[in-house]
Amino acid sequence: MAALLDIRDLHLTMTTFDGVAHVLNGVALSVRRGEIWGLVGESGCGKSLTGLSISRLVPSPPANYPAGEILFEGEDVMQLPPRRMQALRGKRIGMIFQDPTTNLNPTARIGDQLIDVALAAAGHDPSVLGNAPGGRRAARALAITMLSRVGIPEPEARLASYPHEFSGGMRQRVLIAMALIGRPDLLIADEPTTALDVSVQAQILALLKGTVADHDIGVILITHNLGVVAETCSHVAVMYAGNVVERGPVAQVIGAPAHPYTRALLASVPRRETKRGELQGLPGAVPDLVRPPPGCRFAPRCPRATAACATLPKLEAVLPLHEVACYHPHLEEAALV
Amino acid sequence: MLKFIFRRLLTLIPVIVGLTVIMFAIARLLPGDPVGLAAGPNATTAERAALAKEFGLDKPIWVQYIQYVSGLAHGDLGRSLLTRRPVALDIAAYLPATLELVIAAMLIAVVIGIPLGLLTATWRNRWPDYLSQVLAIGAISMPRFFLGLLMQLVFAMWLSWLPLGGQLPIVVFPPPHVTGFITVDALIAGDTGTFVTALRHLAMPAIALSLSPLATIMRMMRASSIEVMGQDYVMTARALGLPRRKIMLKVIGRNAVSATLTVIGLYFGWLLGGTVLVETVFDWPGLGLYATKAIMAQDMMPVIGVALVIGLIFVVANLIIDISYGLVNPKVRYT
Amino acid sequence: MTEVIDLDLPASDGFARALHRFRQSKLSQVGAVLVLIVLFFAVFGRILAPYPDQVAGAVDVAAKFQPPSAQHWFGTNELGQDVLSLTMAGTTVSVLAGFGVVVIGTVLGTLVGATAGFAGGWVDEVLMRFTDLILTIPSLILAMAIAAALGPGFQNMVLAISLSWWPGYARLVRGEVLAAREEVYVTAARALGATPGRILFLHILPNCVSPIIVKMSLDMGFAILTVAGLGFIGIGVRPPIPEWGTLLSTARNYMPDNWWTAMAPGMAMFVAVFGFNLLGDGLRDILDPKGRR
Repeated sequence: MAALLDIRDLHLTMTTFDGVAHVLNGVALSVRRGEIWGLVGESGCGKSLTGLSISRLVPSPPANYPAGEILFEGEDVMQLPPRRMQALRGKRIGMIFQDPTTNLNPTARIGDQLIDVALAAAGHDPSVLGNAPGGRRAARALAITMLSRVGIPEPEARLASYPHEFSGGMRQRVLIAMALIGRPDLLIADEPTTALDVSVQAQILALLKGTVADHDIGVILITHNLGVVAETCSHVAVMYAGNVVERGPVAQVIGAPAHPYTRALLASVPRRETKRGELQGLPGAVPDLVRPPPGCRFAPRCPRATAACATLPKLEAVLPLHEVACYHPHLEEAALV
Repeated sequence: MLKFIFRRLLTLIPVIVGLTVIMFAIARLLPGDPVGLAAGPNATTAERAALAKEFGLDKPIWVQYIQYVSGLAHGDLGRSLLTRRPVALDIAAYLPATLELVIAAMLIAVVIGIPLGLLTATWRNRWPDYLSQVLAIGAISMPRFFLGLLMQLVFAMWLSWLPLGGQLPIVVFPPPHVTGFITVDALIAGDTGTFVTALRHLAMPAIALSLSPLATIMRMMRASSIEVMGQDYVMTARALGLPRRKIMLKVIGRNAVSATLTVIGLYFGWLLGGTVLVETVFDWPGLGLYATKAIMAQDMMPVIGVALVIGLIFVVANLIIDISYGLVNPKVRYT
Repeated sequence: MTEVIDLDLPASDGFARALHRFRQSKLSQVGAVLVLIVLFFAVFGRILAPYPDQVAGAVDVAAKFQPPSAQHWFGTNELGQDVLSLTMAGTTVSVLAGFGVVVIGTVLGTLVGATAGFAGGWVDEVLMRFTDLILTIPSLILAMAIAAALGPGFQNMVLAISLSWWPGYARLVRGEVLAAREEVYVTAARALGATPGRILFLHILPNCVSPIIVKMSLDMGFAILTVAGLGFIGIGVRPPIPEWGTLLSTARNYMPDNWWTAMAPGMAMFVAVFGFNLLGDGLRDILDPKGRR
């Protein structure tokens, strides 16, 4: 099955007052339909920027893409003229952001906001409205359907509500409805549950999972929460300082992490059995992106680093589908899974 | 709810008292001789005394004040030495003209200023934005009376496109009085000829008056638009494929307008008292001109009356805004 | 998203930062240049005028109403006087008056506002109600009324306008003082036994200087406009003292045939106000970038 999304060797630099920061250093990511990819890493590792880059939402004067391709169903997004890109947004690629409080237009009714997205998508592909005539009315009906699908009670009445009349969880559901109403093929969710209660989190994640199953779409779930990844995702890609250092099926990467960073990350998650004082951190700090270390960016903190690590390691399969970018991966348990 | 309105209305009383006291205090400073001026240079002492008595100016000032305030309760604002008419009548005659001018000016300022502000925000840091910023400061800096003079020179005297001044030419009969706004009344009466003429007379003074508020509204709108553009929901709208125009109008525009709207109310009140110069240049028969002539003749009553009326309109307008805010937002009522 | 991430200099570099921003803002530089030119003429206008004797009142009736020429760049008026000279000399009056208005207004307003903010309680209430009352009266009419009541003359005009100008400063200073009152350094000073007056003048007010200066510079332009406006109507300074407003008013009577008599004073007005507004705007951005609205 051809990849829905294929990011190849993506490089991104951003001009800051301090200098030019190499934020993305050859990111590689592949998503197929039906797959939920978790994109994990610490703050500042570049996961959000990767997500934004797919939709080309990073403003281009301070940002610059010196190399790389983002292939969406075979087409390189980086080369598209603005109008084509706008046609993709919402219609083919949907996005959800972190904070439901600030992501909805406070002065417009929910119904209008949903309808606007639907109409914009239908402008490029009338089948969104089911090939039915009467643009706005059909969009309204679709909005009601979407609202009930994401679990909002009394959807027809709620069309007239304003965002501040909803709770956080409900707002996030509305945002998911808005992201899905155009029937996108790819959904990018940037920390969709971080701002929500744990109980609501579970519901939202279940909703996402159900959507993937129903519509056969691909999802990129950006998060720093490994628990969410373990629960919801089918695959996971681990990022560190602008590189994808490990990727593969969730069970394998989490069950038998090969990259030293992934290991450390997993080890630092407290479990029920962890006793007081046993919390494991990782010594050192994230590298300065303006003057990054040559080669593997994790090397300065890595217990297994050698001279070879001065060259950037590429992603290589240690098992079919399970890839690591490291010269000294942990292979011992990999075979056991 | 009623209690809230009542409490707010009560605040009007100290305002009226305060206003009248202050204006009377200023009148006290008058070293001049209003009676002498009004009577004319050839009046005899007896005639002057009679005039003074007729206008109650021979009594001590605090007596005059009490008489004035009690008169206020009956809607009597005293009499003008200059026009020899009750001030209330004069004001009723001249107020609509000023209101018409101010409303026209504010309309121009809002209709052009708000979209322009939104537009320049999207042009940010490119040369059209820079240019519009300079033009805006230029518009605020331009003296209104000089601009009026220039406009008269170019459009009335050299090009003869527009009339020189006044509200209507002498030969044209004003339409039947409904609102007091000649343009509106002409429309109501179905008299398009008079309507167009009135509009042509209104054009230059309204434009001259509108320039400064236009520039300020534009700058305010630009600033709030820029702030809104940095908000998350704008990013979401872009990410979900909304067309640019819709984002500008529905997302950015709607959220940026509210801050500007509050300024518009304030500006309206300020303009009301600031028409003096434009009315003088264009001979517009409004309160500004009336007050100016009174001041030059050291005629106290009209000045106090005008200040009172304008001040009251301002306070009442704020009151209405306050009350409607309370209606909309129940939390405010209990403060 | 910001274009370039702003550099976070330590507080001690405040002045350096301000200077840096000033250099970056072309508009404030242009404003500064214009203001300097205006100030230059305010000081040297009378001396530099091509026809200084006419500035003092001399007339040359034979040369009246001459259009712009090499000898008279802006032509002559109804008394044969060189319009350019009168305008140059008029700079002094207008600018000085503007300064006077702003300074007096600031002093009065600061006194009222600081007292109200610092004392609080009923003093604050009374003073602020009074301030609001003055604000309710249309300021131009108020200034006109006071000026007419006091009589013609430079000082009277300045005083009259100042009396309508101070409420803005009163409110500003009151707000600043109210906020500053809660600051730690005030509590510290009190603990050390400083008297209220000392606290107010030595500690609080110096910290309020920034917004006051910004307001003053923004007001200069409008003060000059108001002065000219009053002159235009005929209140305030009278001929033969040259003043832009009165010059324009006289010129008005001789339109359209002798239109040039209005050009010099009108343009001078515009340039002066424009310069001060640009500078004021720039100063606001430099001294108070957060307040940019």
